[in-house]
Formats: sequence, structure tokens, C-alpha cells
Amino acid sequence: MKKFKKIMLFLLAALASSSCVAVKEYQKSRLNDSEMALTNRKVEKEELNFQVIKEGAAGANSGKSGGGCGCN
Amino acid sequence: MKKYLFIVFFLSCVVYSAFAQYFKKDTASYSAKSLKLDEVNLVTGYYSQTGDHATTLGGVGDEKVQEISSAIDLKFVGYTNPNYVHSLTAGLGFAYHTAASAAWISKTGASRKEGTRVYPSLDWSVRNLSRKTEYSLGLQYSNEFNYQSLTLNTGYSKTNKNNGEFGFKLNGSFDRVKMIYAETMDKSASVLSGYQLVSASDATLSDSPLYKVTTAASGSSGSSGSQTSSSDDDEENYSSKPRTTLTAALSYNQIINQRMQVAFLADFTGQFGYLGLPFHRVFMADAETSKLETLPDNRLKLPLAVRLNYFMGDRVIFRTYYRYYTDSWGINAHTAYIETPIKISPFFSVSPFYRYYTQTGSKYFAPFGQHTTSEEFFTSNYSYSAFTAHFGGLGVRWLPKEDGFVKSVELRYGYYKQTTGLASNVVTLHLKF
Repeated sequence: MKKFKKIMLFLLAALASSSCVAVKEYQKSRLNDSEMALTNRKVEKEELNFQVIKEGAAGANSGKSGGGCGCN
Repeated sequence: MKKYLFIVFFLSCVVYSAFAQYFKKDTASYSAKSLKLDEVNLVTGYYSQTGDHATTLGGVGDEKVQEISSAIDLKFVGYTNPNYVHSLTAGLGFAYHTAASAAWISKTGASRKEGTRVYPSLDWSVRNLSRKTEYSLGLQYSNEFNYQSLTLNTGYSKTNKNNGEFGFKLNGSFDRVKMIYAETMDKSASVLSGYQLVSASDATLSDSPLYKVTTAASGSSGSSGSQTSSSDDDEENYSSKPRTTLTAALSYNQIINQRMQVAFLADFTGQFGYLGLPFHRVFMADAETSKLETLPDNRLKLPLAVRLNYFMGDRVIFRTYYRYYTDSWGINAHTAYIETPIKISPFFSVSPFYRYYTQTGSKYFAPFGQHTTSEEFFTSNYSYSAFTAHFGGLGVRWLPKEDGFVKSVELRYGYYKQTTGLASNVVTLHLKF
């Protein structure tokens, strides 16, 4: 039940975000800054790799969610 | 080690010399229809780890690892007609590591500690500018001595009128685990003699180790020995088992206003096949000799995440991330991350960051000597234990002149610490040409 509530909260938050201000292309200078990107940056690659191996959780971060050895 | 450092340096020089002239000439716009080299990325990293819960020794022993890696990718962009933008990215990575625990695959500590990994990749995507859709296909391969992985993925995304973008991606990893078994080891083995059991009821993983090191044994002897416990170094003697990972990833990005955007991410992952490793030992309370780690042949994972970025004023950005994770092995985890790039000038920024992570333990985990032979599944791998981790550091980013050979330089350092005692340092350099 708790998990269901968390998933519902997540979906509600997603829906709530749809009521947004219209932003024109010429108004996106800040949003287009490379440090505003909604993904991991390449410089984070090494640390994401060891976190997948050394922690039980993975995924939902544009990175690996399984696969690979992590043997050591 | 010096040899591999030299290789990384050499590769960097080759890239520089190979593309220096090319970039000077490549000042044309993207109006050309054929694919043209758009950018080159070189990422080099160094990772160093210490700890005393090596899984090869059943959750005790030296976990020291060092790794150096370098990866390069070349991105080509072209148009087949004014509306279709094609991107083709070819990558190649190389990593070299030493791991103290690997020496104890054999019971004498004579197995090889070094290993290498090579990982090429090829990704293609096409974006329809009028329909605002994108399709992608990708292929990655990774090869190391005891493990091969082939990953295929395909994705689709569409941007709507409200500045929102929906994305869907399917990912399949088809791996083979080479069955290199750890030799059976007695609890009385000299390498384990330094670890003394503290009553489990008197200690918790989060505040003190269950085992105290009194005379830490070293696994360094005989490093020229084979990777395996066998005296026969012929790879063909080993069988392998499959491991398959299938993921369906959903994402929705939304621009909130001129300064803020948010992303919602959900992965549905299933893993099937051999999910342990054959050289991970487990020592039981009611047995004198070690067993091999035994885990279920399937695992379902559900991570849900939200990422929110905000540009405050003209100089400060807040990059935030939160993830909730649950899986069928009983692990529940929370991850929170914040990074604040501060633009000292339009061309230079510093980015302090902090990441908090906490997880509950898997139902299949127990420390050294606490499992019993009546259990069906058991592991002493501390990545499945209950712990909290802190990760903090600093990044710097420099954007040289726009028409220069180097487009951006990023250097990032982080220190990671788990309550299990594991600690690591990681340094990464990203050069974009």
C-alpha cells in the first residue's frame, strides 16, 4: 500500500507540472545552458559506474540499471 | 600500471593530433547533407577504493581497488533532408584495474589481481524537426576476462506543444558470466584468522564492524599467478552462464518557466539468469568450509526519480535529483543529490556537489558466519547490506574560445564513504573537442 501511495504521488507530481508558463524559443537561453541539462553529464560517468556496483539500487538516472559485472 | 598510464596518455595525443587539422577546417554550418564530425569527447577517470568487506572472502578482507579508464566517442551529424537530423556516435573505452580481493579466488591468494575491460559502442538517432520526434538505436559491447556483455537499445521521444517531452526506451543486456569458481576455504584459513566474531546482537553494520581486524592478511603474494584457482590457464576450460537484463524506461521532461525544468523518470527492470558470481564465498554459522554465493535467478527493480534544475539569477544553477528504489530482493533505497554550478565568468564555473544515499538490506544478505546451511539463498556481498553513503566533491568547468580546438574542459573530484567502511576517491576529466 505504501508503495502504491508513493507511485501515485509521483504521478500526481508529473501531472501537476503540466500547468506551466509558455516559454518561447528565444526565452530559453538559460534553459539551454549545458549545466541545466536534465541528464547526467559525461564527467559523471566514472562515479555512476561505481555507484551501480557498490550500491543495491540502480536506474532512473539515464545510466545503467543492470548489466555488466562489477566483479570487484 | 605505468604501462597503462602511458597508453591513456598516448591515446589522448593520438586524438589531438588526428583531429587538430580537421577541426580547423570544419567551420561550415550543418547545412551539408552528409554526416560530418560534430564533436569528440574524451573521458578519463581514476578510481581508488578501500574497505574490508571483500565478497571473495565472504564479507571480510581487503577490498582495495584501483582503476584507470579512458573512453573516447566521435559524434557525426548530418541531414538527409532539411527536416531529418541524423546523429551517429561511435565510442571506444578501455579500463585497467587491480583488485586485492581477486587474489583470493584461489585459497592461497595467488590469483591474478589485474584485469582489463574494453567497451566499444555505436549509437544512431534521427530527429524529425517538423514533427519533433526522435528515434534511436544503440549497440554496446563490454569484454573482460570473466564477463562479456552485449547491450541493445531502442528509443522514441516526442516533444509536445507545451514544452514537454515524452521519452520511451527499451534496453536489453545479454551477458555471459564465466564460471571461475572460488576454491573452497576453511574458516580457519590464515587470511581469515585476523577477523574475530563479535556477537551480532551487540553490533550493527551502521555503527561498528562485526569483525575487528587484528592482523590483516595480505593477498599480494604470487600476483603473477593465474586469474583462477586452477593451475591450467586455458580459458576454454570454463563454462559460462547467461544473465539477461531487460529495461523499459519512461521519461517526461517539462519546462516550467524560463528558469526551471523538471524530469520524471521511471525504469521497469527485470534481471534473469545467473545473478551471483562464482567466486563470491559465503561462510556459514554451521559449516566450517565456505559455500558459493547463491541468489535467485530473477530480480525485479523499480526506480522512480525526479530531476529538477533551476537557474537562479545569472550565475547560480541548482541541479537536484531524488530517486526512490525498490526491488524484489527486499532492498528499498533513497537517493538525493544537489549540485550548484556557480558561474565565475561566462567561461568558467565551479560546481560543489553532495549526494546522500541510504538503503535497507536485502533479505538474502548476512555478514560472515551468520547464514545457515538451511537457507536457500545467501550472500555476504555488502552492496546488498543496509547502509548509508555520502558522496561529495567539486567540479570545475572551463569553456575556451568558441573557435578553438578544445570546446570544453571539465575536471571533477569526489569522495565517497559508506557506513560499511568502504571509502573511495574518484577523479574524472572530460575534454570535448
